[in-house]
Amino acid sequence: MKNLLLALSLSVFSLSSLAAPVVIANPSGPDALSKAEVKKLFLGKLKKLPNGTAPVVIEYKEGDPLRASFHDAATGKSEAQLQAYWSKLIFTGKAKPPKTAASPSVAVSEVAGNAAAVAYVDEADVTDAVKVVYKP
Amino acid sequence: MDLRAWQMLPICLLSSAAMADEALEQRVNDLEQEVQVLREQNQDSAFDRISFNGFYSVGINQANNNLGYAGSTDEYDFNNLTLVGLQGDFALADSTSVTVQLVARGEDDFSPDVEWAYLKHTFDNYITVRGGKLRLPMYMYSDYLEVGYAQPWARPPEEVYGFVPFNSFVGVDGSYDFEFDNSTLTLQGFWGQSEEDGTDYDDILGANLTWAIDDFTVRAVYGVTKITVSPTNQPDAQVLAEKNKSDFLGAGFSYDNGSLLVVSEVTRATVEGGYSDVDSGYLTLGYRFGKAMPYGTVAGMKTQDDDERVDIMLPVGPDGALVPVDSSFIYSGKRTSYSLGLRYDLLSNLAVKFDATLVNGFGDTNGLMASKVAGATEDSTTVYSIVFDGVF
Repeated sequence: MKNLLLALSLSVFSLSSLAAPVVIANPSGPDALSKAEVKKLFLGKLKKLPNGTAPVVIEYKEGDPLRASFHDAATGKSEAQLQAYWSKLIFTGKAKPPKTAASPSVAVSEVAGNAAAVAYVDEADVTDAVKVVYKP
Repeated sequence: MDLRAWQMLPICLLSSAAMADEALEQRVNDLEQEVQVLREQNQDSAFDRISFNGFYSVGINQANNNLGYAGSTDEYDFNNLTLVGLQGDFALADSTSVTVQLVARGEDDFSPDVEWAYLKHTFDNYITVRGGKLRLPMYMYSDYLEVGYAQPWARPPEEVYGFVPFNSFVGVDGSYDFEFDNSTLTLQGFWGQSEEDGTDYDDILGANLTWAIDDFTVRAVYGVTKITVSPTNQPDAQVLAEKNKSDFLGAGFSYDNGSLLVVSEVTRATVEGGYSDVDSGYLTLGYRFGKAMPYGTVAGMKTQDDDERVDIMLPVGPDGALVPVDSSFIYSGKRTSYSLGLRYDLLSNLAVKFDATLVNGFGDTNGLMASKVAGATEDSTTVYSIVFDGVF
């Protein structure tokens, strides 16, 4: 019984860690990002990646479930808070919202084709053309 | 030739055609994928150079009397809180851009005003310099003063945000972000001049420091200017000589962990001579329950130099003759306001806010209500507001 519970909780744990998207970069991009860097990156605050290049952040459109689950884990901001946050940056001219990709496969292609690009996708969508730099 | 070979030919042709079809389909798929990526990249690069964003508020408010708090009267008014803003950002180069923001307000018959109009350049060392028409960064919410969507309230606390009569200046500013592992320290300096309703604000000079640590933000600001009131702008001219030095000091604090919101600011504004020196402050508490956030605000202001008032000449003598009158009734005062409100996020880019604000604590003063309707003598007022705030 104990083992069953353990197995159950382990599988629930692994399911939830599977569900959280991973951050990907170009093979010539940075090797790893810290949690703090990922948070800054997807809030438009990181000026350069650990390898010195200015990042090109790729997001998804608002309402995308992937976007909601990623930000829940990485920045702690809800969809409405993100919108308010970006409104502040946009209307003060401090930053522009990131590019958006129509789908994870497009995000992977963009990251594969741009050394400075960073995006997040489900682990299952990661291909050989990109590398995982952060797992929540 | 063998007859059988002739019979085989159509079969060979057919199968090679089928193989060609498969290869073609694969190729078309690949191309479609490529086109999709290219199209996306193309659109994005167009967006990179020019972008348009906007915000709007549609609101109605009404007070229980004519004390004129925040421009309200005892009749309902759609104009007070209603406005639309449109902003264009044009990238001239990677680090250089032009931003123009137009705001059309209901209270100005929607004739648009340019609120931001600046050229911005970020140097390789990440120092950002802007020149043109800029918002005066006096308060925590100054930079997005009219973007109601980005604020918790139906209107910013009037005691703090409503006192300084100008919100923009023409000049330059420079800013730099010091990035630490878990926090960002932003230093901004500004220099310029402004003119509002016949009053000149020269030699505006100031700096502010904002430290954002996770959910906490702490801010301090100091600024000076020299105020000259136009001689035709009576009765002020007698109170204020030319180029009177004015100081502004402010401190702010906010905490927002996604559920609990705490915001507070205190300010001190002083002007040489007979004009008001005012201390003001507010504290807002809010709590998000999903899409709903009830909030409460207490705000207050009080003049600190009531013994410096001078007599001004007013046409209140017999036959409208000018007689000296103690200016305390205009420039001395205090008041406190209590707001209860609810923000509800209808969509991810549209919120509605309901607010009731009670204002009292005037003591024996007029409560510094500049837009009081003649004859109103009540010692408190309550303003009800509903406003829809959105961004696009």
